[in-house]
Amino acid sequence: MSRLILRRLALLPLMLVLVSSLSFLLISLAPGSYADAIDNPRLTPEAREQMRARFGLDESPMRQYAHWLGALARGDLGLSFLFKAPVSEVLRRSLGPTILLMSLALLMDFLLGILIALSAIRRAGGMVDRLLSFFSLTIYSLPSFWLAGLAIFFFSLRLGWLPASHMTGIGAPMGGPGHWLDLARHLILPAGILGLVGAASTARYLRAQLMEIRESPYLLAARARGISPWRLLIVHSLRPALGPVVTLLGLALPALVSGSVVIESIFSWPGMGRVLWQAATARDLPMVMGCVLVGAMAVILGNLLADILDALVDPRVRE
Amino acid sequence: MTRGGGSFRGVFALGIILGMALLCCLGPILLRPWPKADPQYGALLPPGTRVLHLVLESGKEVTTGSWAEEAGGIRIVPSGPLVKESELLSRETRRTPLGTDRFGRDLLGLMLRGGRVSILIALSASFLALLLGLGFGLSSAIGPRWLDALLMRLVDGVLAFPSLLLLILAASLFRPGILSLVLLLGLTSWMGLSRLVRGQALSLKKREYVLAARLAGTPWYRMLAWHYLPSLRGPVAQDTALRVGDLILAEATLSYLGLGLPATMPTWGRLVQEGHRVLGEAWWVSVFPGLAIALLVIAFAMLGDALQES
Repeated sequence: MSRLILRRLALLPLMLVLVSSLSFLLISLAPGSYADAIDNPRLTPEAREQMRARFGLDESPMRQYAHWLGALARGDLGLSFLFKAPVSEVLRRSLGPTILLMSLALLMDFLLGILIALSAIRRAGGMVDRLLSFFSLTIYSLPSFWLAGLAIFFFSLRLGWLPASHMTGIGAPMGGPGHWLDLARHLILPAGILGLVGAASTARYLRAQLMEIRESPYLLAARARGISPWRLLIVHSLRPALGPVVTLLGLALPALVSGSVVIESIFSWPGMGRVLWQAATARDLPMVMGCVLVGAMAVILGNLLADILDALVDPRVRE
Repeated sequence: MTRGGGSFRGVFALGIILGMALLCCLGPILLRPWPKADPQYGALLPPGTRVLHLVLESGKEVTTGSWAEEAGGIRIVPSGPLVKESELLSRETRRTPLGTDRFGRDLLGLMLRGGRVSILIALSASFLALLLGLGFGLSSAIGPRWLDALLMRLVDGVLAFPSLLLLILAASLFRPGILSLVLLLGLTSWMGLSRLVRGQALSLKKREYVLAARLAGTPWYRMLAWHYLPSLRGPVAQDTALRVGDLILAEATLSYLGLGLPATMPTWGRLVQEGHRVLGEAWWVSVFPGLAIALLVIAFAMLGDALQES
């Protein structure tokens, strides 16, 4: 058990170095440098040289890379010229809203996904199953940005029930229950759409899993012993189907990270996804790199956590 | 679901896909070209509006959705000028089936042009992913052990990475054109397929007839062509159908975020983004291109499901 965790943990820095080197390689391959992007045609040649020296662009690529890795190890990701602040500080500021949004979406993803898959499998091939299958296929195929636009159109513009953007309203109370109510109202649309899109693929995956289990001999044996259908479904089918939490989370997490970029940009949610989008649009490379690194790290750590959970629950994995 | 049901849905899905592709390829030829866009009077006309197009002697062109015939000329209502009969070079009325955008361009025409680009990109990128996935999957199944270990570690690494982040990172380094976007999408989407191919090929490798062929000294290329590829056809086709849908979505997402093809190309994703700017006044500009994306992606997903069942 602990050996498994140690082995996975040892992989982590390796992956990080790999990811960061890849990003650095991409950046050095890109035409121009980020000194060009902040370049001012009115700069004198001396000033330009000074600027290049300040960003370490006058050194050889290998030395640049070494410097960059060293700085990374100290948690220094450079300066963002779009936000006029250190990258790490911008990240720290935007991490909270993103985690709030994503954890809520993940909760809804799993709960709704399990609910849909269970109701579908109750009568496999029946009316409900076919309807739900079509529903999840449709949601899975819809562009999430388009879905978000529709939601804003109906719930914000037409009905006026929910706010269309940002995390807090103008003039909302700064503390107490009023603040939380305001926050919750702002969360409903973005978290709901992110969760709904995730739930569609979770349901599709789970349904296929449950179908397989339905055919298995041990379920037939359990049914022969006269166990009630619901108990059969929840205890005997759902538990083994959920077993590989690692696959479920491994499926949901990258999609969630990608999805949050789109959803946060549309709803002006002050999180990392929106920061990444703004930085990419402005070609603020240090900021983009910072976001990509944190996103990759989140996915890797999530997978690691799922592995550990899996090993705790399932003795076969521990071997 | 019976086999018959599966193949019926497959044919249905294929019909949608071919129909849309055909429309997008031929549409710009079959459709009468929309007159010069008129952002002043012809912008944001709702779907189905009858449109009057006037060419004046001065060379000016006017496209409007509301007008009134008056003695001596045509008045653009409300508050528009009176166009005198004598100034008029030509006039025609026509309909805009899906409405116009905020520049007065016909949405249907834009969508047909954009669809060509989106479909072309998704198909070429998935073809590239198909080649890479087959190549990497087969070489790690049949090739030496160290190659297998190396390739599968690589696949694990890239697979865990949210592909949109990779795309955004690349897109912020250089703004892609069609070719680089195909490369980008193809290079970031072959991993799942290669793992699938590897698994299938490994189980084939243990089959007796494959073993017999190997012992008989069949050269590797003939092994591939006769013994491996034919059995891989089904799962690979299913995976590829799903991949095309995913890539259409990925391309649309990049375009929507403004990180895809240049603004001059009316891809579906960009049209939705343009539509979101006028969401309050003109729902159709974003709804129809989004529906087109959804329909095509659903069709590819249905095709994939049908291929899996048969």
